[in-house]
Amino acid sequence: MSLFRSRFVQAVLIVALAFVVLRFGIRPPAPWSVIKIYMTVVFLAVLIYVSADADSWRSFVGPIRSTLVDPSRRLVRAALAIVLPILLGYYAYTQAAATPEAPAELRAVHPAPPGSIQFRGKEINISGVENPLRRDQASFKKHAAAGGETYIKNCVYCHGDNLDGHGQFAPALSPPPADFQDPGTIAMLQEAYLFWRIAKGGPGLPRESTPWNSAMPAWEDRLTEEQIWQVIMYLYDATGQQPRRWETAH
Amino acid sequence: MRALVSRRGAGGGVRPYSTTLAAAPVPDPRPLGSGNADDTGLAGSPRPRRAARLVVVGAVVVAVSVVASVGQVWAQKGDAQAGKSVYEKKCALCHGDKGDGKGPAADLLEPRPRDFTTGVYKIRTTVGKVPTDQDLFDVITRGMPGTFMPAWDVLAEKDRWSLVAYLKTFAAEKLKEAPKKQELPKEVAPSAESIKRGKEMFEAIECHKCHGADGRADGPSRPELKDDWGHPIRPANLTKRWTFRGGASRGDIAMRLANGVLGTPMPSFIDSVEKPEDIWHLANFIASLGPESPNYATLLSARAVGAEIPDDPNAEFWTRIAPQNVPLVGQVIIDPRNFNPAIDLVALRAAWNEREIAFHLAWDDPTQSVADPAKKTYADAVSVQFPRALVTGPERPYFLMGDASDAVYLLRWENGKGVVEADANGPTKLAPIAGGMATANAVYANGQYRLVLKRPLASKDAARLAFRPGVFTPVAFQAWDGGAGEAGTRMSLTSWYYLRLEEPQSNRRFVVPPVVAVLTLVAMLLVGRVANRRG
Repeated sequence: MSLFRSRFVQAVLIVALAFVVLRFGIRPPAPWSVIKIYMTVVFLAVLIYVSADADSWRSFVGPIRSTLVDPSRRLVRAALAIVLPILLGYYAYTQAAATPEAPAELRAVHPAPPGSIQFRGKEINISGVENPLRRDQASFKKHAAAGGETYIKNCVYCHGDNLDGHGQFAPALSPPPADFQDPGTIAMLQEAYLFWRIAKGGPGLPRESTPWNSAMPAWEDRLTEEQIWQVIMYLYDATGQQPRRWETAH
Repeated sequence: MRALVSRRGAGGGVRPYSTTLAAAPVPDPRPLGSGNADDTGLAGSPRPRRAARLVVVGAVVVAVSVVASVGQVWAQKGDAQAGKSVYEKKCALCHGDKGDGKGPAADLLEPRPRDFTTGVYKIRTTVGKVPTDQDLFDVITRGMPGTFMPAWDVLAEKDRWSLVAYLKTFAAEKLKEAPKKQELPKEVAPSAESIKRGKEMFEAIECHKCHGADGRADGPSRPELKDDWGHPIRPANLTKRWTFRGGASRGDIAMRLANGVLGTPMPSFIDSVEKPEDIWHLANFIASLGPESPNYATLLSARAVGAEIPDDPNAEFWTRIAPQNVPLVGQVIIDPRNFNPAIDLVALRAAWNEREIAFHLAWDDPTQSVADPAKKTYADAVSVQFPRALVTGPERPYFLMGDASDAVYLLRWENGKGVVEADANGPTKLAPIAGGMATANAVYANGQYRLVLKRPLASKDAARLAFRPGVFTPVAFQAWDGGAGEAGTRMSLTSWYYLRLEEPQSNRRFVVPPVVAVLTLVAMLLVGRVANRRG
């Protein structure tokens, strides 16, 4: 077990383990830029750990030094002198020969909503308003069914029959249509937020959400207020998601 | 699983199936008792507890595998009642509550949703009208490519089998005959010879009358084609295999050729080819007409060339550049909307030299049309869209041909008129730019336009975009099939893409790596020397 007492071996193991955990242990996979930042932190922490006292530092530097100076390790030295330059040279090649990738487009997917919007001359409060159709539980089925009809005649082309954003028109659109089955979309939004997004569409997005790219129409021109609330009910009903609500005091 | 076993024991009528059971590996064909007999031999062993455990385990394994194999059969049968609730949730909005293909969306879709009460299904592997359950299951699973019927592989397998069972109840009388498998002749591997023979057959049995000489769905019979219910129907574009309703593999194609597409003008050809194996020669020929998948491009590039760029769209020069396929979809934002666009793909090749930039566009259009009010047709057209100037930062004009506050710059070509440069503040607000500098050369043959649009690379005035090498330039496309009545906002389009003018191949990538390698070696030697000195 003396192998594991060597600070050098420990350091290598910690770094390797951290990399494996970051690279394969996180779902969905973390982007390289994030992994790079975390690995830098791990590396610095390991340096602090091995240099905590003089003995520890010696134990860490020992193997490196012996590889560099020990006559018995000449072969290892020669191998390193060949392998390391080749590796770095190859890395340089991949960097120099890489075809450039499109610039990353940063885009706020769920931008902060306005306090209220003008809907066909009527002011609708976005922060805090509940779906008015939900008050009438008896008509829930009727409204959801009407919402389904509106959906299939207008929304299905992009958002798809399964409401998962894989409509027929989706492949040509960037940003892609929202996937309502994804717990990261309607499940974390309030119904009034959806009303704003549907009514004002892509052109109504704030700058940070790149309104010029979005193919989402502004549905206020085509759907009534009731139809929009119905579609919202259908979205939640058909996906089995629950809208986010204000907490009520009991 | 225990619950399933007990349910089965108690109810008998309840059909226990679940994906876990249906997916169980190899069903054990042994009767329930035999496993026990094998295991009891261990009862006399020195470690009775372990033996007892083995007996239990063995019994459970055998019981589970027997139930699993039975479950698989049940799963394949599906449960019509369970299928009904899936149907109402997932299918009824198009196919209608009664299965008659008259759901609320039906009138907007082309081709129309299937009317299940007819019992007629396009895609079968059988002789005659009745499909196998597997045929129906496959259609549900992979959808009908090229139509609005999506692939329902997101549904659990048992739900799809239940749907099959439920669909059959809509036409129980018509589907009661046992399906009879269509046998295919022995498969012929694709080869130059086979493809040649297939091409001869293609002409001999007159495939081109509907599908066109090059397979681009532009045959002379196209306008008259109707399905069994009188609805107009388009022949398949054989160069776009990914839109084949019944699948893109050679086997799928051979099956369609052999038994036809029911309810459509596509007949069975198994008896009209000279020899049965001609079915395979034909399939090989059709598969050779286009790729299996469109491999849509995500980033577009224009190649740097030192030489002249030819004006002729059929010049050999263009065949040396790989096409970059861009999908187009209907414009459904501004009225009138276009739910069933005629043009679904434009293939772009682009090149530039120090003087000019050229765009080679190819797209399929079954009719070459110009504006003709009597026939209700318009001019075929295409446009390539850019921002008016390259700006740093993400901001750009609205992708749908700009808006009131921010115009786009268009290279718009129209059949019979040629190319104009224009500013657009929306799809119907085009303003030509004075002193056009763009040129166009178009050819039309066998259902395809090929167009070369050219423009000087730089621009001296502020009205035109100046192209710069290495810069990611936003680009978008619009297309109109005037013969299908498309004009104005009735178009197909893309959202913004990036076009990059490749820089001339530099030899940087051959110089940098050796330099890095040598530097590394020098650094290593230095470190070694320092370490030695200290040691």
